[in-house]
Amino acid sequence: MNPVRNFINPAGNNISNGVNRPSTVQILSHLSEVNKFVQNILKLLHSSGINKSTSFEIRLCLKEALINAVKHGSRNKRNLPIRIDYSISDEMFKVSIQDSGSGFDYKHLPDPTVKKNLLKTKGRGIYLIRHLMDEVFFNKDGDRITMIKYLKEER
Amino acid sequence: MKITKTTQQDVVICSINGDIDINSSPGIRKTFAELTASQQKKIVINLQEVSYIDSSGLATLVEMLKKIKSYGGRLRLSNLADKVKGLFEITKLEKIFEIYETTKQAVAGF
Repeated sequence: MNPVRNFINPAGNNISNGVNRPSTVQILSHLSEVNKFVQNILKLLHSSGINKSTSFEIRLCLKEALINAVKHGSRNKRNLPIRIDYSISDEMFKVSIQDSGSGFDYKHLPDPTVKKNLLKTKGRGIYLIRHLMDEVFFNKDGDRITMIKYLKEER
Repeated sequence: MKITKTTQQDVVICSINGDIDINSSPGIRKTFAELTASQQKKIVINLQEVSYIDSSGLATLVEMLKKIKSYGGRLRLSNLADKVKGLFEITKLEKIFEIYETTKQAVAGF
């Protein structure tokens, strides 16, 4: 794990330093913290001229990944931290999210689009992330997800 | 998030205004529980004022579809924004939902 840079808590109240250089934020495992962090990131992206379509996709994927971290990683234990490393440049938005859980088997997730799974009420979050972000990868233990969205062609 | 219910003949139209996500899903479930409790058979959800749905919101709609189908009812969706419709396409949920361009078309076909 990289050393913590620009440690900010809670929920990234001052995250403007994420533009053009990597930053790290730690939030608590709660929906209100997730909402606040995502709103702040979207403000930064909008001020850098991102279009609505890309904004929608980043908002969705960032929230899906963070909600997974809260629900499955931290098992809704509010005091457990979630570490977020992110950077915004003209070319890309990159974010890594590490939760406090023991990870999951990301290689063997059921396909939510096959007929037998269409009526299920779980299992679409990671699937959407893989479709809407340009690059998605996990660490070996499955407790850290990294997502990249390229921005340059969108402007 | 706000839900407005209107009736046209025997069809209940629920117009949702706001995001359908993990924050609003409990409220949406509660509103629709009233309709399914009375076994309302023809329901249209107008999504004209919905610009954002997450996986939890999609799951809430799937849950409602299953419930309504369980007593022989039908659920239709209308007025999906392009990005919202895109999520139904990616997840293949377009295969199990009846999706209409307009609420008028959804009601007329019932």
